[in-house]
Amino acid sequence: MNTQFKRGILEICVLALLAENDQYGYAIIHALSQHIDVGENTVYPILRRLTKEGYTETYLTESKAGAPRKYYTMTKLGFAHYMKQRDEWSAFLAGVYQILNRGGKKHEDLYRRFKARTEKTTTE
Amino acid sequence: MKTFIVDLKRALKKRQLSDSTIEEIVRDYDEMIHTGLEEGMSEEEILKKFGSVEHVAEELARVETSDPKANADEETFIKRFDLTEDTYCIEVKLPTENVTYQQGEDNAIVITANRALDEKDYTFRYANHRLTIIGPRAKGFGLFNLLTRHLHTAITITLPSKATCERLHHKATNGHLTFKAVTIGDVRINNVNGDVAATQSTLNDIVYATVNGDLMIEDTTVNSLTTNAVNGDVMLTKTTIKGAMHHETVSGDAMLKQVTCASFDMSAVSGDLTAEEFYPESYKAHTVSGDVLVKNRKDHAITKENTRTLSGEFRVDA
Repeated sequence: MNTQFKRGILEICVLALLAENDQYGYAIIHALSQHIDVGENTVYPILRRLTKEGYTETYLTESKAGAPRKYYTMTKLGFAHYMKQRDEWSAFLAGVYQILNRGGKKHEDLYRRFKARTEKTTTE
Repeated sequence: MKTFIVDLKRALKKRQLSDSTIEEIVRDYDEMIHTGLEEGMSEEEILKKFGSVEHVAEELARVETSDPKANADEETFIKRFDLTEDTYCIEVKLPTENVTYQQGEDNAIVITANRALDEKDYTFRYANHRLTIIGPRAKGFGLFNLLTRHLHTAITITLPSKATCERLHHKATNGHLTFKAVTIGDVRINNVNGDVAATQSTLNDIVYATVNGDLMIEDTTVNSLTTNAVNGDVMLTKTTIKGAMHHETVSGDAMLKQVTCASFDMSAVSGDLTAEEFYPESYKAHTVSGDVLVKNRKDHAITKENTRTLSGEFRVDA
């Protein structure tokens, strides 16, 4: 899949996390890595871009151990952006599923059809 | 870990990022590595999550050198109709597009969009005092359609400064609809999933029919409001309804805050009525399991006698 596409997926996931709670950088990367492969897609640059575009802001808090932590917080603009992205994604995914489920929802259905079709052509 | 930081610094320098930016980025990565270690991760695991230094630097360079305005929605001009008549009406059928109505300074209807629209797909016509807009139906999902069409088409319709819009009929399926500080006569909206929001507007009689779409009205004056929703909620804030409000729904809620109206009439299955500072002159509600929860400070007409409910709760707090 192309990078632009993956970037979009990661971005909306970051937005989803921040819509719930303020988070620090490592926590965001860790949470995402539980579900998706973040290694080849870099999360931190996305956080920087979201901040640059005014969708998130940052603040520092002292932590008990070690250096202060930078928290990312979603702005109202960011939330509106998230809603917009969410609509786009659900419309997009709905379309993809519509295509994938054309011949039936289950693997078996698809296989039955495929088998019927291929057998017919071989006997002809 | 040291090598990652050192390599990253070098890679960012090579891409000519400013010293202060590099310093901040390095600080952030340092923090993330330390946090990871504190949380019991091994160095290797942490670095795996970051991606390769070259890739990180490349992405960061993209972000830092990009112009934030380049990503902002740029408006594409679509059509302009100059008006000489005093009144006109609008008929719109846009299934998937988000539409915003706003007031303009010229006596013209100006239509813009967030991207260029294919002329084959759309009709924009003004004739006999009537603006007609028809958009493409959401037809079979080809992958190409998906990529082009569903990436959020937003159309803005700027209304003329002098001529009055007497009637608006808007039909949508998934598109959201926004009214921004406009004055329109009668408004009829048919929708399935899209939401409708109106702020700082003056609208005569509103008739809203929807399945899932919500209706949000704020700082607005209307003559009458009739809503017919399956799941859609109705949220009114700081709104004056001079005449009647009828709210008919299955499971849609009505949430009213600082609302006055001459008469209020609600019929719901499981939809609730939650209200704060809600002062209808006359009131009637009928629900099966919906609750009526009101918080009013002054005297009001909302009584238990006029709330017929089978299993819903009725509560009025001062």
